[in-house]
Amino acid sequence: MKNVMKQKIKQIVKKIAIVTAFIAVSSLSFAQSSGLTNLDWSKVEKQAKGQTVYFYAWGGSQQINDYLRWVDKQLQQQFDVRLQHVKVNDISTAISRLLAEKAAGKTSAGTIDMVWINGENFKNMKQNQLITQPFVQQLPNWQFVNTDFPVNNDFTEPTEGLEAPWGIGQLIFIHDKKRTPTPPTSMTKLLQFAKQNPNKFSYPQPPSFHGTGFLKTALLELVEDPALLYQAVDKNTFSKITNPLWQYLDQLHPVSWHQGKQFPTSSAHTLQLLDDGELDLAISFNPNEVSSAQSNGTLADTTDSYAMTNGALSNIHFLSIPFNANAKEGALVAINFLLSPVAQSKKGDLKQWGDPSVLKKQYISGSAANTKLFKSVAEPHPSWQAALEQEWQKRYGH
Amino acid sequence: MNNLKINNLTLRDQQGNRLISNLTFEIKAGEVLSLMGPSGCGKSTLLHAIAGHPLNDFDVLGEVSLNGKLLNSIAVEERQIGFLFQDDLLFPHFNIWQNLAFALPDSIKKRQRKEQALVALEQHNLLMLADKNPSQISGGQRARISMIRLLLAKPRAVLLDEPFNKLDQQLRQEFRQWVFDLIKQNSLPVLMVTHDQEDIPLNAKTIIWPTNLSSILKEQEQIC
Amino acid sequence: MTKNRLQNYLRFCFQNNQSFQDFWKQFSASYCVTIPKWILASTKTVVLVTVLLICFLPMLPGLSGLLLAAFDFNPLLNQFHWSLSGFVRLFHFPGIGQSILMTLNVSIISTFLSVLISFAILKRWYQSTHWQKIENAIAPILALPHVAFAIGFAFLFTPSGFISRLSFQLFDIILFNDVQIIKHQLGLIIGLTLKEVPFILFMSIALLKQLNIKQSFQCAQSLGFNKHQVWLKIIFPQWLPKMRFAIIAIMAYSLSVVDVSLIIGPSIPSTLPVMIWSWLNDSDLNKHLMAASGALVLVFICVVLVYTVIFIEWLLLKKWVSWQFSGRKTLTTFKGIDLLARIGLGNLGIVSVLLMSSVSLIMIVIWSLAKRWPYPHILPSKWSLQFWQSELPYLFDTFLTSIGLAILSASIALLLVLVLLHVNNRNNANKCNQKRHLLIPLILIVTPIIAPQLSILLGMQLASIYLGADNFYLWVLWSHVFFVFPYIYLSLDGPWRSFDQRFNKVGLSLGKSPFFVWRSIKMPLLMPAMSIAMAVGISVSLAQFLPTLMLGAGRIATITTEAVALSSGQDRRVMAIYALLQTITPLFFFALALFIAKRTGPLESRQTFSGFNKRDSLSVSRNA
Repeated sequence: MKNVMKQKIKQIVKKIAIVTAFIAVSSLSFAQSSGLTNLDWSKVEKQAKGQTVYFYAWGGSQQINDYLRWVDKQLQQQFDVRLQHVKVNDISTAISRLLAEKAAGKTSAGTIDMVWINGENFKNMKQNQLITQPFVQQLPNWQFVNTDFPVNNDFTEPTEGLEAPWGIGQLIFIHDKKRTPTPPTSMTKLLQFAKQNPNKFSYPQPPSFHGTGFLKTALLELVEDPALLYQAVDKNTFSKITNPLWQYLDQLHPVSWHQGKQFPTSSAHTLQLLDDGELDLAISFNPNEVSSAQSNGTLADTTDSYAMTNGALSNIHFLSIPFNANAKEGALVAINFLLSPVAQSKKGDLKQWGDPSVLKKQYISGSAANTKLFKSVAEPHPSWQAALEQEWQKRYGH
Repeated sequence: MNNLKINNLTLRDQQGNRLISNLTFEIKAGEVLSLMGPSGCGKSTLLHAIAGHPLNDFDVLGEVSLNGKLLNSIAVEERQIGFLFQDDLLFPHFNIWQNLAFALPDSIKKRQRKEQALVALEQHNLLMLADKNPSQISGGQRARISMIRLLLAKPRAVLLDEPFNKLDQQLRQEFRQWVFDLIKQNSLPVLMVTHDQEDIPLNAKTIIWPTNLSSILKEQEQIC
Repeated sequence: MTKNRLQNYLRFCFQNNQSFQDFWKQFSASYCVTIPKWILASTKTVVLVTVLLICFLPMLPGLSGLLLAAFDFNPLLNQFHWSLSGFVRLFHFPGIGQSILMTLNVSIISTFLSVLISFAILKRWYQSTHWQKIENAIAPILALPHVAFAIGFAFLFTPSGFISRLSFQLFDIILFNDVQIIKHQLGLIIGLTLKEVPFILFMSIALLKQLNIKQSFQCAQSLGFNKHQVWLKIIFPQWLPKMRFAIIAIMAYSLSVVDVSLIIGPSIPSTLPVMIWSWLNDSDLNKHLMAASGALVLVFICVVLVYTVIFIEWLLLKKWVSWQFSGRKTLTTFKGIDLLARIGLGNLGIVSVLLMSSVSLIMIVIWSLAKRWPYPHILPSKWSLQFWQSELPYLFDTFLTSIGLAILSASIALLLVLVLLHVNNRNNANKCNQKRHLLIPLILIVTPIIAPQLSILLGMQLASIYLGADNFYLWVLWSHVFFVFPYIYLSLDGPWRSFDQRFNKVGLSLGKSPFFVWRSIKMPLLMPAMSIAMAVGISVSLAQFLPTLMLGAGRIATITTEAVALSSGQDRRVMAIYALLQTITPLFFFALALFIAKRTGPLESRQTFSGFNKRDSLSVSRNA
């Protein structure tokens, strides 16, 4: 009896030792991604057959989810590739997972095949070498992409072919023409407006994407020399450069919604609050949000979108493939399909998602061709994102 | 003929104190042996030891045999010793006939089980109780059903653990007579624990508990 | 050895001309004596070890992974030195002090209130004729998941919410603009309290049945105590120790809750677990370090609070016991409770729990059918089934996954609990393995619900990645079993204890095998308890958000993960659909469990058959 137990314990110890050794060995091997130069596309499509692509993407919008369901159907029919949308609250979840996988030495058969990112998250992925080798130029549908858009830079960070453009975001404001016929068109006017209509304006709480977007829009208008924002943050000059923004917010918050003691959680929340009559302005990165929301029932028919006279903070959102993706070929096929005129036109459908296309205009059909685009203001250097968020947290986050 | 034999039985607790030392007796078919003594101090433990139920705090030494067969290493369910508790312990999720059918030997087929249960009830003029819940019938009736159930399992010996304790005076007499008659009819050896002189039938042997061991008395005072 | 015995027996048989059956019986009997006890004992040990492994092994990677991460010790990144930088960063994070204080506040106040209100409700209603109705209402309220409740609750109390809309339409007053409830700790405290009261009540039901309330009352009232004093001085001291783990469980839950906090909790600053959650989801490695340190701080706070709860219980029941024997007067220290009782905390409590839960549910139902419901309309301006229609085709898979996972994990957990209860039960202890009998302390069993979930999962996730993260279903299933197990154990422990062991003895003495006795006596009698426990387990599994997400790598989508993912989009209509499904699914299982519970167990407590029985017995007696 005792011997049996001893043997069992020995066996267990052995197993543990093996597992430990395995971890040690696997952690020593470095990331080795397969080369993606000179791809034979037909070979890629062949290899992609039967693969399931786990696509980590924000899952909070039913229109986007619906669109991805449609994409999944198309991919299955045309290429025998399944697109599994992994709905996340925030894409950084995916990056933190990739970091953990990399730390654990998992250089292949990773859990994430494709991600929807831009800006700071892209910078992080690039810096930590979490992306597979450059692939974008190899995509057959790259030819349709409108390279007049800044598709090779993501918040000033060169994409280097590591991510493919998917759509365009512009920070716009939404108002109800019936309630607010003449909405404020500059930051100065916004402050006046807020003072006249206390408790009726707010912006999503940083570090949410839209909240920081609002901070950047405000800073771009308030700063003396906007060119400074297109360079990396300098610790020594940061407080001087951003001082006007904090002074502005110090005045804005006391007349904001709940006296600035509380902020909406997201862009979607501002839309909800606009519809609830708690706010007079909502903020979105989708210039076609209004038409989409109206047909969906989330906004009244009298709402409309507009941009500040200076222009709308604009960025491009991208698709990328992690270094250890299990279904790399499938992901390539999926991204290529997402860049096709059909998929882009469907994505831009004003009654659905309404996300502006990155393709040349002649390839877009349907209501997507009537997409709204405002005068654009480029995104500052990505380092501003974290710096602004941190300072905001310090000043207003508690 | 059935016969229950206890040879040199000792009950010892974990510390080595003896609750019972070298107890030896034999009960023949139809005989009743009564164990008398203050309540709750080891008599029941002895019954449980004989029945084969696991005792948590005592070691059992010595021999228990039924009809010449040594029972010590035989499982409870195979000892063929019936056990009647203070409470009737009718299974509350079965009605009366189901309670009886449960006790029938496994060899009796499914269909006959109900029939035999009803026959048993009929024999004791209790057929009207067949479909009732245990909670719907009187205490006296429950006690009778419990006894009938015991007999249906065809035991070769019976242990009674203060079986009349919970019944009132009049019922008690009636039930007692009925039980002893049944036992006689079935010619079973009976070991009964009681603390009431009246419970003991006329021709029964009696062991007054505890035997002359003063150390045990002390032990009991502590426990009691 | 066996061979020899066989030969001996064969010789013996020939000599005595025994039938084969007898021979077999004797052979098998002797076989039983030597080997099976052996096997039995070792099987029990093996089974016990398995149970321990499955249920407590995750604690090891969970806590050690957390410790390593919190102190910035990472062998895989060749970091072999300890560092406190995570804690330094954590305590320099703006608003962290406030956040920790607030987290403590929420946890302590909501736990205290839940206990107080629950006891007040029991005191007011337990012996009344309405108790059965309350008891019936508790299960569906328990089934209402925290997130679903929070969504409904939030819509009631925002300035543009339902109550404010009502008051605006009726009295032209906008409510909750100045007194904030939602997105404020007040809302979180109220929400958690209302949601935890049914849990304590539920845990009390089985207990009070054991406590023989009626006899205590008859006894104490004949000694001149009034009803109020009996509850306080006789029932309370018995009730509190038995509720210890339930109280600790809700305390730990309120301490580490993320999803509810995201919806109704404060955001400037947010509570500590929400902060940890957001750091954990950050792409910045330094934030991960902070998350790990924060999670460790959360563990520390939790341990301190657990001991505080135990200490308070000790003070009340062991140290300052004089109030219990002080006679028939009500002590001044308890004037507070007395006063609360007089103003009807019991009434207020039950009314608000029932009202809030049902109104929240109604809100969710209406939202799921609304196309547009703009302010200040009291009802939607446009109705539509479109969201149900568009979601339903995709719901099926999610639904199957959720239910499959829930049933499987609850069944496994139930099995393990049964084994553990069997082995852990002194009464079943076999002589042979008694000396080295393992009695698993309750504290170990309930650790999964006491320790902050986020902290354990952080370590588990790391372990899962190291050990092969490909078996997502297995990992998720394991984590579900791990978190379901203690709840099932807690629901079954009481009934198991109160089961009359003599029924087993009667069964055995009637010549039935232990398995047969177990199957036809013990199981049927405990069926009501088991079916309810199973429903509790299923509902716990269905509500798991973090384990499914963190260990499933998004491969496993359940109704709950979908609901939380969609909640970031703030689309109330879609959120409502998922919240409703989240409610209906456990509700179905609770209803099923109640259905089974009322048709099994002792005949006297069964409902439907009693009428039938009466008729039946009448006809029998006529025949007789």
